[in-house]
Amino acid sequence: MNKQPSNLKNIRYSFFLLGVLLLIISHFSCKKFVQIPPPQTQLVTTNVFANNSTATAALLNIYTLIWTNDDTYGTAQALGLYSDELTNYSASTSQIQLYTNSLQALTPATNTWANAYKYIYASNAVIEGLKNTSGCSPAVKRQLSGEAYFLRAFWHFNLTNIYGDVPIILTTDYTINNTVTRSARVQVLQQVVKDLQNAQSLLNPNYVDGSDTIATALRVRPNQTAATALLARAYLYLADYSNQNIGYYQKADSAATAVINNSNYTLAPLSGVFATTSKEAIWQIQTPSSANENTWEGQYFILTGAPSTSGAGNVTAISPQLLSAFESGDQRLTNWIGSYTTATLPKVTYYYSYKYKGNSANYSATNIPEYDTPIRLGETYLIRAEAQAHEGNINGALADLSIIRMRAGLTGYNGATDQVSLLRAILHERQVELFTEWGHRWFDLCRTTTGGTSNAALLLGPPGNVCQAKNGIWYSDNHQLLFPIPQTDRTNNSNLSQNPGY
Amino acid sequence: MYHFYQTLCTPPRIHRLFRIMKLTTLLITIAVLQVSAATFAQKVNLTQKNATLTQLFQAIHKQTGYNVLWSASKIAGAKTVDVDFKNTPLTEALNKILENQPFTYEIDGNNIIIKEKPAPVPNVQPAAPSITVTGKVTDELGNPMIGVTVRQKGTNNVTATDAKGIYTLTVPDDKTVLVFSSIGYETQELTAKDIPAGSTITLKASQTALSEVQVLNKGYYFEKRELTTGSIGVVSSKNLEEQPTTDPLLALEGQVAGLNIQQSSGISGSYSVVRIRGVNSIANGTAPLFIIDGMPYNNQSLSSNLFTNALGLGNPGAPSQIGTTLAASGQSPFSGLNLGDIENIEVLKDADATAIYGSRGANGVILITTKKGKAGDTKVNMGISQGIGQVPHFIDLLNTQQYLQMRREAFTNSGLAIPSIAINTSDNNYDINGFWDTTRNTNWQKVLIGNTAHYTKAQASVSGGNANTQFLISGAYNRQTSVYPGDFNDETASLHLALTHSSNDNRFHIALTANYLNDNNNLSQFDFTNDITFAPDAPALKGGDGNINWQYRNSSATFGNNPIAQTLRTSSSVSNNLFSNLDLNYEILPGLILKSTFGYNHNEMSQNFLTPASSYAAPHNTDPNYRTSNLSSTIFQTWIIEPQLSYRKKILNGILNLLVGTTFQQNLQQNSEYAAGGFSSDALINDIAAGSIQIISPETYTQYRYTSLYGRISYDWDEKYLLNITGRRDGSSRFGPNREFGNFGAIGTGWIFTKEKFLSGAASWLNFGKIRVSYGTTGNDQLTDYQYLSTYSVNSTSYLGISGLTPSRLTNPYYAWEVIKKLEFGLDLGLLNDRIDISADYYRDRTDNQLVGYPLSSVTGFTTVQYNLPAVIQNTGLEAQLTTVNFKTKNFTWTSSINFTLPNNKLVSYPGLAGSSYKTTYAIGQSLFIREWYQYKGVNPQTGLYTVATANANGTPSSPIDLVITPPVTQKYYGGIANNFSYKNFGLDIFVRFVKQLGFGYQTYFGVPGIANSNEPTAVLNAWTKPGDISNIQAYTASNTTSYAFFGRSTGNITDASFIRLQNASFYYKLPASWQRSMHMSNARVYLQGQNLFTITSYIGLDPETQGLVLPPLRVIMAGISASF
Repeated sequence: MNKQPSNLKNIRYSFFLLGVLLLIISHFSCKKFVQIPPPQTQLVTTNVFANNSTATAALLNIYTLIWTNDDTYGTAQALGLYSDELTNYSASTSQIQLYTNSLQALTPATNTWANAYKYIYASNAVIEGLKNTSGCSPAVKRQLSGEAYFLRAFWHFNLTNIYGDVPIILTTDYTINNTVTRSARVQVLQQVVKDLQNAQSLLNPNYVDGSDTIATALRVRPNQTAATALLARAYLYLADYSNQNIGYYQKADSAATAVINNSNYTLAPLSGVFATTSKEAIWQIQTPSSANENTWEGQYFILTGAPSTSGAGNVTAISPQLLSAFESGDQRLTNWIGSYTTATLPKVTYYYSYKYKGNSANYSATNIPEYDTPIRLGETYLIRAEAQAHEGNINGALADLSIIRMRAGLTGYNGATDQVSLLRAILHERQVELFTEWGHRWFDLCRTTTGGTSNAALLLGPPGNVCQAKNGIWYSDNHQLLFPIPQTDRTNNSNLSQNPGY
Repeated sequence: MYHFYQTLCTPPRIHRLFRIMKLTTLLITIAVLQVSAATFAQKVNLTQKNATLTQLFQAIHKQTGYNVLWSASKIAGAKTVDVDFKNTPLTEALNKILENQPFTYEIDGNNIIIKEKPAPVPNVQPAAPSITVTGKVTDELGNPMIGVTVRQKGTNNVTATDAKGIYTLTVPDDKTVLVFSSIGYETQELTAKDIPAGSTITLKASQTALSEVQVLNKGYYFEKRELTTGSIGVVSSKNLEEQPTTDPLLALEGQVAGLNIQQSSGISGSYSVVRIRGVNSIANGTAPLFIIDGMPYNNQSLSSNLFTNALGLGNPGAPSQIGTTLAASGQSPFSGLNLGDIENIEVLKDADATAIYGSRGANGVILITTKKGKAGDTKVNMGISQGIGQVPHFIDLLNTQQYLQMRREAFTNSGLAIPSIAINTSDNNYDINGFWDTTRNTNWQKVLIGNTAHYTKAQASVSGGNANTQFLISGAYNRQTSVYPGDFNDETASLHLALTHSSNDNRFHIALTANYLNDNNNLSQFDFTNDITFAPDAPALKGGDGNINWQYRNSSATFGNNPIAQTLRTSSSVSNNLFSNLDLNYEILPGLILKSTFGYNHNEMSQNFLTPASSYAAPHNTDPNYRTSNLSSTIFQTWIIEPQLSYRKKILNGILNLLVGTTFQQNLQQNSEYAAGGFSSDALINDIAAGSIQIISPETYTQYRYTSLYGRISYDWDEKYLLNITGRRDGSSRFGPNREFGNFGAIGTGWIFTKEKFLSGAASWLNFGKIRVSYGTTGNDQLTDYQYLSTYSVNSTSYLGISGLTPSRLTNPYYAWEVIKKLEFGLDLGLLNDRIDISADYYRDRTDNQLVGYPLSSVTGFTTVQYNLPAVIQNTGLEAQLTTVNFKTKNFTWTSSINFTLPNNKLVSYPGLAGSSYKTTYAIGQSLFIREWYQYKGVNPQTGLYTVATANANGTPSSPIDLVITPPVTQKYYGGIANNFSYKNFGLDIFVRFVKQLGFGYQTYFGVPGIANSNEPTAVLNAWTKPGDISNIQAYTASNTTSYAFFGRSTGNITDASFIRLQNASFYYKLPASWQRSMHMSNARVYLQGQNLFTITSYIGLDPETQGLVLPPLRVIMAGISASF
């Protein structure tokens, strides 16, 4: 065996290996090596807000989610059942619980709570992302954060009307948000006002397209007027029906006036209120590209057969209470309410909300006749009418009320003009004008009630009446005025209290 | 190095890293000091008169640490010596001792080899021709063997191999016979002329129970089995080769205690769930780390999401619950890895063995070592085998008469008239309404899964080399067809190359292994087993004209889901997989080795699935939208570089081993998918561009990087007290800033108590006994990449023409590893001269810091955030392995081996369980395999319906109030029994596997008895028929499925699925040596192998392992021949 080690060779091998070793190590530092670039197929948050187009995509996606999560029909239907607008035919537990006002904290009947906070999170992410960026142009930054404030206000407003005291969420930090407590309803509404004032100052007066700056005819992104219109609504609710805070009524009045005086907005004929070209629309939600139907309201309210007995779509009909609320000659009864009569004996006729006329049957991606309309001028008139009635401006209130009535083919209001009668007429008008739209009816029933009894000479009667009319049980503690806070949320955040009675 | 890390690491982490660096520096410094001491400063102090050589050598050994190797018999007659050494250099001392003796010496590494002086050449006689034989001795793994005795047969001319396995012996002539022997190995005799200079001789482990594999590969280092402190299971190539399967994982089933492998189906190439010692994680990976030749191997299927619906070949879906039988599907990434190329598979289980893998070793490690070349004559090995596979067991299903009886009764029970097409022309109960021919009686199992699959395997290898360079090239080809109707097959081809080279001075080694696998799987995407429930009177698959029989009635198909249409849909899944590893190794100084490995893996899989409209009945058979084409392509790449430095030194009475090394690894995975539809003709579906609708799925791209610093210190005192300390500091890209790094370590100790004086001789039956204890931590980083990043994902739905961006998740950049603390007690015994080998382990693994979705109030915008919860999972268990040599004579041997595992799994704690999404899945104090289901109360004797216990009087159960905790639906215990017989040239190996477990009953897989077109097992013949009947099968029904649905989620649906299976039997015949010689062959044998031969079980269904309506594991019988030339 050759035992003569070649020193030269040894040195060569050593150097080779040591060289390789050093090369490897010097190439990477220990820590840098495992700090990898973000994935090419996902966008890191800071990069999203580093330029106009991705920041816009992050904001616009909130509207897409609101539509695809079906919060438009969902809210209208749930609160329509919970109040006295709809009759339920579904055996689904959540539909029954809504209809009979017997909600359970353990099994939430709607997704409103979780969805609303999802949109609030996304809005906060936009606000925070834009605050810390220099990548977006100032005009884009203003428009996008204005819309984010608007959306945050819109969802807090819905939440507090459904659940009472709710957490105010102004950050994306889950460590804060998961230990938060509920804020009083008044505080929530004040935050809503604050956000909307912010939005007013930031938003473009025109409706803009995807560029964030160029004006467009489509009213599918809130503009300054949308913020003002929602502000009018918030002031009206803040004024507090029982406490008659005139200051807020005045603010509601002047905000509504600003909208009404804007020549871009006029009342549309009944058949065109929800049209994509409607001049009455103040904020619409566009039907997104992936849809197979025009609007969820059209899809699920319109009956093409007897109401289904399962699930949550096509399971309701207009209630007898709502049907009987229309005066004879009211064009809304013929234009906004449709009917289906069964083919087999005994023939049964079901009435349904026909404000939205498009469903999957007449859907076409290139020609969508109407969009979801959360805010429209008709409501603004009624806000001003109500505020003015409270302020004592009877003539003003009468005029606004009559405008709405006459659009529906009725005569101007000619009933008693004392404040109470007038308010009652205005609230009745809201019932027949705003039915199955975003829960207006239920909110009206609640806000005109204090401690279970309706004030102002029992304008609408206690909400318990609507429950008993559906053969439900209304408890004397009136806890059913508010939805329960979902139990899982309380389990995961022990600081969240429950509404009494649940 | 010190300076280097100081400059490169950011301050906050620096201190901890500093400490490690310091330690490293210290270790290297010690090592270098020791080396210089060993090389330059060994001095001897000794004064003695009339010392024997033996005494002197022992003294030198004690003082210097050098092993002195000598032949006792040779030096027995040597002269005694008077010595007086005072700080005498070693060489001087040796010269003095051997002065005037017929011996000389050679120092080689740590060894001093005492050799006879070459006989002085007589002056008078002509010189006797003497030759020097030199070479290397290795074990079967190719590891050098130290201290092997090499003797000139029948003489005292003897030497021993050195640390590198090298020996040199001078013998009179080339006809001299040399005898190579070592304890635990078979003695080998060779004539000098058959030993080319520098060739390698391989000693085979002898057939005592203990010694089958002597040297254990623990990944970063090797250990003698006797001296290991860890828990390791080994399966050798012999066991693997006997199994006629193409997936190495399936060959491991039942072979190793603590290793549980569950096939998802019998379809060739289907994915198996592999778990070592249970489930350690709630939300993250539970698969072990696979290492092939030092390189981590991706164990995830590359199958695309497009194929999710296809049983067997789909993507492994997210398990809805751990323990679900089909927790994962997809194509096994191991399929196609040729079993014949595998030398052995080791399963590392406890902390001692796995901690050096740090954050990757949580779920155990499976090391696969491929074969290497051996020095000697160039050898050609060839083998070919052919076989068949069949479904081993069919369920007893109702025949047409029984079926129709059931259907009629169902209508009666439901208060409905028996349908008749004559009365109601639109009725679609064709099986009973008179439209289908009710005189037909088909057992659909025979039609759909009753064919015979054909198997062909061929492999050839060439190996050889000399002392310096060895090579092995092997190729294999496998083809198998299916038991389905139609022409489906799966072909794999593989190429394996192993090249090893050593420098002349044996200090430099280089080894390259490269593998290339090609798998072309054309098996159907559709598992025909789904349709074995067809009504037995359903029409024939093909009409008399040979076309698909849709059985039209008024132009609408009554047999629209005719499964034979699936044969028109083509799917192919082609994977090309290259993986290779390069190992460079240099001994800088004796015992100090610098080494680096470089591994690379490139695996590509492209899949397509084409559906022509002709595979649908009219009117869709011409509809362009029914012509679809799905394509997917996935690329997976890994590279890894691991430089390391090791040092071995005898200190005092023991051997010290030191090791430090680092790892750099990167994985990249890319996937793209396309689908198209709306082709104007079936002929165009091969070209995706021809489709009028094209869908491009979002591409996925993930990168993973991993680095670490690891070290090991081991010391064994006198081969009696063993200590092994391993540690690793890991960094992984799956964690956010400042959370990348984690530390893991383990300590293992062993005590070979039979080496104690007080025991030696006391128990002559006990020749080996060792107690092992180990404790340590490993981590689990098997989680989704990038979760710490705050990101937005694309929502392809656009608003105002702009595609949306949606927040992907709440981000917690602070989460870290799941930490598993493993404790182990082990006992190894060798009895009756190693004829009985017993190994028993108790383990307790506790996983803390569970990385799960922490439940949040939805007020946060999401319901969970990735978070380390102090939730604890505990896996405890007992494992035992018994190997015995029952009988051993010259002609007949019989050995047995039994392994047994008793696992136990428990969720010890889970803060916030009630608010999490797991609230009705897991329960504190219970196994992870429980279900929270209803309590089954039997069939109501009055109504004939299944009932479950309810709090509500109306009998309708509701969740969660009526839920009860079921027993764990998993294995209670399992194991295997192997018996190997050999008689002269015949051998018979039989392996039986047993599993005691609970599973889900057949009811869930078959429809509600009585519902249209769904056959049932004959077990339903005992159904309730009239009030007062006591039965465990509910009344047939044509309408009511509610009670059946509740039953499916009740304890009644959990059934015993235990089985005993003759997993494998192999019979071989070695051709007589004389024949082989005359044909210049060696190792020639013919064999017959059988897999999954029969199963004993009380489970009603196709198979108790796979359960459900999936193709069961096939019974495969193969015959083959192999030989070397």
